[in-house]
Amino acid sequence: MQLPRTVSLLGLSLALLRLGAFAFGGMGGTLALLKSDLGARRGWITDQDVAEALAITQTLPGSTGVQVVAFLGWKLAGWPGALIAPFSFVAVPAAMMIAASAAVMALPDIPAIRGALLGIQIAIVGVLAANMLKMARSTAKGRVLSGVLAGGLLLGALSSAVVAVLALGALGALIALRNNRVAGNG
Amino acid sequence: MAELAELVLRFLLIGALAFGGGGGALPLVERLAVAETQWLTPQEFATGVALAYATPGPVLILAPFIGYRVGGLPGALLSTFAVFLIPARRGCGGGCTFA
Repeated sequence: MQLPRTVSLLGLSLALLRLGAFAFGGMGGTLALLKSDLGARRGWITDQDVAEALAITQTLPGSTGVQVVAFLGWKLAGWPGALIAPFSFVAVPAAMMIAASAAVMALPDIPAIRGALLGIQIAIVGVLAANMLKMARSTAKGRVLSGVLAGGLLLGALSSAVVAVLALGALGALIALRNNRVAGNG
Repeated sequence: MAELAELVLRFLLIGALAFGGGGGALPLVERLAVAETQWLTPQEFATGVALAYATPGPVLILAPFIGYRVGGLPGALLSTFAVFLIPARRGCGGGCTFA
């Protein structure tokens, strides 16, 4: 694949520094922002590039947003772009997190601050639970898969993730084998 | 120095193994950078996760929050670099010559 090196590294870096500062709203928000800014506004990429980036990176471990940005950086400016684009993209959020970390360490130990931190800590458990619920809705479709979900919940609560993964993986394999045989393909 | 090296190694590993994107990898971060090392208390970790969700960018931007605790500014920068290096390398398919 020959790549058009149309974008300067500095231009790429500045564009992604700016985008990183506004990339709220998780993956969906980030992808929409990349498409509208790098695509529609600057004409550097097409929606097809983003789809290709997602197809390549979604199954790989690691932050998907960073992988997509690295892929786009690579398309636009070769391997230096693949390095500079993602690190420009995370620079502003990283600075914010460093400031937040320092601030949390420096906070005085008074009741109001303790209460605020406790509120934050419990709120995030709620946010994560809501995310998990969304994931459960999109993956556990039908009675059998809901059963597997319930089994995972039970095993996860009573034993460990390893037991749940091994037991339910084996169960899934058995069910698939049986269905295959019933359908006459086995 | 030894602690910074451990920080980099642990966050490289988190970046390499973070299946399911950043949010899905939080239990991994909790295990590798909190439970095993006690760099943060569970309450501090929860605060960090909340801030990582509230700030723009990927959830694994949690790394500098932890890295700053362990090694100040150098720790924060190194952990950021470490956690995103392998995902960045993966993003460019076979075309990259770094890492």
